[in-house]
Amino acid sequence: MHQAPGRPVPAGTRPLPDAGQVVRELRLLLGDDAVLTSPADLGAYDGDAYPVVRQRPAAVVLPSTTEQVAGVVRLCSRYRTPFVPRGAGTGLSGGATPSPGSVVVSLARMNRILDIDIPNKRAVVQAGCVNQAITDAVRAHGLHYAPDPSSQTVCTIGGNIAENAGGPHTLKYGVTVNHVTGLRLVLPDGSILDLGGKGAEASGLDLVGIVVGSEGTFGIVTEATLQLTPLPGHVRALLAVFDSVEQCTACVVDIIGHGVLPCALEMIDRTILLAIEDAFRLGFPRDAGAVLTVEVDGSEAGVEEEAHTVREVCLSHSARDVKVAATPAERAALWIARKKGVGTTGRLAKAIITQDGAIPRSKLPQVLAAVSARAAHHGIRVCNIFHAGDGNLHPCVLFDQSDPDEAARVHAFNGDVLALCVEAGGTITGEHGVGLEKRDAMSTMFSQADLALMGRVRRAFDPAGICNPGKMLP
Amino acid sequence: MTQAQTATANGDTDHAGVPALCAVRASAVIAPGSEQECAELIRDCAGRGAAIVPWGGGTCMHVGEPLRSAAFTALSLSGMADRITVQASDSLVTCAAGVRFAQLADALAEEGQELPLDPPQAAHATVGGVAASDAYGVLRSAHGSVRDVVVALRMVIGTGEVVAAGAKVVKNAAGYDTCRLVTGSRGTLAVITEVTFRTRPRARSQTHLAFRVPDADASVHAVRSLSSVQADTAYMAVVGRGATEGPFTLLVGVSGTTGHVQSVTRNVRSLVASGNPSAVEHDPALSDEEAETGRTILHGINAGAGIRVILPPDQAHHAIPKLASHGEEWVWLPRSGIVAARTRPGDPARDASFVSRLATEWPPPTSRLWLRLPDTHAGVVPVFGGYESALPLIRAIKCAFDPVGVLSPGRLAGAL
Repeated sequence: MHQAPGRPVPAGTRPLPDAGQVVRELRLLLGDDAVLTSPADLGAYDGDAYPVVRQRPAAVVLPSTTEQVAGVVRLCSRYRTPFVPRGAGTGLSGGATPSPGSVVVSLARMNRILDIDIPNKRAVVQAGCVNQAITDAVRAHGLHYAPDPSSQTVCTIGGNIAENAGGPHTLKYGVTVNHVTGLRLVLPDGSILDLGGKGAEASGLDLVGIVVGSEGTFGIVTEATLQLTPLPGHVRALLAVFDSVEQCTACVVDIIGHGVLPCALEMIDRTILLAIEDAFRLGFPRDAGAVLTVEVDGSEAGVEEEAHTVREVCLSHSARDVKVAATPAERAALWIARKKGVGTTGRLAKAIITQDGAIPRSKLPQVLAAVSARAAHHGIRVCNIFHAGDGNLHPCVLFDQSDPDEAARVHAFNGDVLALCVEAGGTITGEHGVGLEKRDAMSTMFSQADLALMGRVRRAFDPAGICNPGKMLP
Repeated sequence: MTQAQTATANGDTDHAGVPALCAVRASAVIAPGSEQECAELIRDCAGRGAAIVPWGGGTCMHVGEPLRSAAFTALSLSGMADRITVQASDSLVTCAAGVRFAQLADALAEEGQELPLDPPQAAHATVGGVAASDAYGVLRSAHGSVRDVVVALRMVIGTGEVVAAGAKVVKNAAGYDTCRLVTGSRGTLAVITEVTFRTRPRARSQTHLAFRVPDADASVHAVRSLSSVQADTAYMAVVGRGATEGPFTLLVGVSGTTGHVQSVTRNVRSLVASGNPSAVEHDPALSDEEAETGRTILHGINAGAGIRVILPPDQAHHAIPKLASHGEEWVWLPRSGIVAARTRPGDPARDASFVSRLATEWPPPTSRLWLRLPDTHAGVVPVFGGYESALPLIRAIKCAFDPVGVLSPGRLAGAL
């Protein structure tokens, strides 16, 4: 089904090149301080936030310019050496996990904001720029960068582009691809290609759109032009408290059915709520079965009406309490809970895998019930914190990676969850990407013809198959 | 599989209503009754190396490089127009590619849903054609293009294989987003057979406002005066004729809850009145008429020659005097930075002059699209601007979908 624990990263079909020669030439190209090869250094780059597969690369390089990236890629191309682009390493699907003998190209030193263009509502940033830094830089002008993954204080725009990252507010504002208008891309042959720009779209094929979400397999994005979005004039955040997950998920469907499209609609179950309370003491009810965070924004009149509707719908679904955040601090507390929630599960287990299937929203109650049943069947602990409005599940699996029996049961459970999502008419990933984790599950969702076409599109960008090999396609 | 009686309502057709592209009349018009029949037809054409051109409502068929074939078969979508499945609770709708867009909009309205799309000539345009030509309208300003709401496609590629892309959910990150690639590819990569869109709840209330302003500069001023409420509007567009002749109409749409619409409408009227004393509000009927005019200009419909330019939003209005200096009709979507202009048909000398005058404006990397070129310039002036450095990649992508080159050959950027 999906990537089994401990299974090695595929190396591809070619014999591994002479890493020593490649490293020597990388040092000549970039200087010693930009090429890491010590075991300790390589160990820090042996994977991302997907904890199951670890693989040390042959080298890690830290270029500072697009030209240096292009030089590295040309060198890799000449020696047929696989290379793996890397942002902050916060990815949850193993997309930045090195393949054997590969060169990891870290964009960490390319973290600058190059241009903030307020009249045109655009920012041009290097790929290593941290997501949150963009909003911080433009907030005073009444703007923000809308995609807001939970890791936004550390994750990079390059990584967001690779995975087409989402976040809580994508229900209304869309995912990364809806906010990228231009890219500078180093193709796998080392040539540099500029796609799009500050204009809203291209006149023909949407090449920017196909690169976003390609998981670093089409080349290395070094710069991006991003659309900035006006901050909403008015916002209301509500917290609805339910006795059960079932009541909560039924309410989600009904809120949108009442004609309200919130900018965020997020669910947290009791297990995570307790972990959040233990960590932050935010005052959430410890005996709740689940809570729903709902945010609406827009004009003052519209926000008041929509907040009223949301409250009424929640109460009609037996919410025992619906609180409206009365102050910015109360709203901030709700978002701390949501965005730090997954992190708090670190208090509950040695290792966590966050699943990411997405399903049609109306199937939420039955699929969540089935997920619970499968967890019970496999004897593992699972908690839920997810983008309910998008139908984007995030079952968090709590386990001990050093226990082979439990790891095997987790592996089986993860496969079951992906199958449940596909059977419900959904997808194996809503926003984390396929990477290594779900690569083998692609064939449960797509036919051989579908996958063959994707393979041919990949080869259009990377005929030699050296750019992040072994990811996404089975 | 049947020979279609008529395939177009307003596309390029000869006097008998038979599809024609660049003076090449379709040698056959075939309307497959199913996806499998469509696949069989394409396999047959691929085996013979015969050109095939997907044909929906025919409303946007004039856009593209000249067909590189002396003959072609028009593949009409009219035989695949029997299915609309609305999943209101999931904010999704799936329909066969031959369904007329207006029919889809009606079906959604019955279920309390809507699509934030307003293609031109919606009564004729098919869903497949709207997706293939990325046929957005004035709602583009606030809601993005067709690419932003297509979540899944079924299609037949140039090998005759049936391929699915995307997923029937509102959020998906599995696999390459070939939906975005095929949407807007104008029948050069695949024949779209089924489209799934992300819908939204139908707005409880909406208002369409139209203000006459005295000249193009006044329209820029009026748009700027509305900057504080721009994000609260559903669309904003200006439709004009010439740089000075007029009339010039500022269109503003507001939708949402009743309170929102009342509040924003009040603000819009107040801001326009206080900053633009010469602006006069007209009745909503004018808004409907002018919005449709704007949509047709955006796609070069009813044009002798037409062009669309996509610029950084705050620079787009500078293009208006260049585009409209000889009395051409134009539309400007301020929030998107999109400006389009057309000459009216019937004056080939004027069309040629229009193209010659603008052919060297907005060089790469600016994105610009010739929506319709007169015969004097077809095949000479590149239709798609801003792609020059990406042509090798585009060639490889075309080959991935259509290795033999049977789907609308020559019509892609670079005459691919």
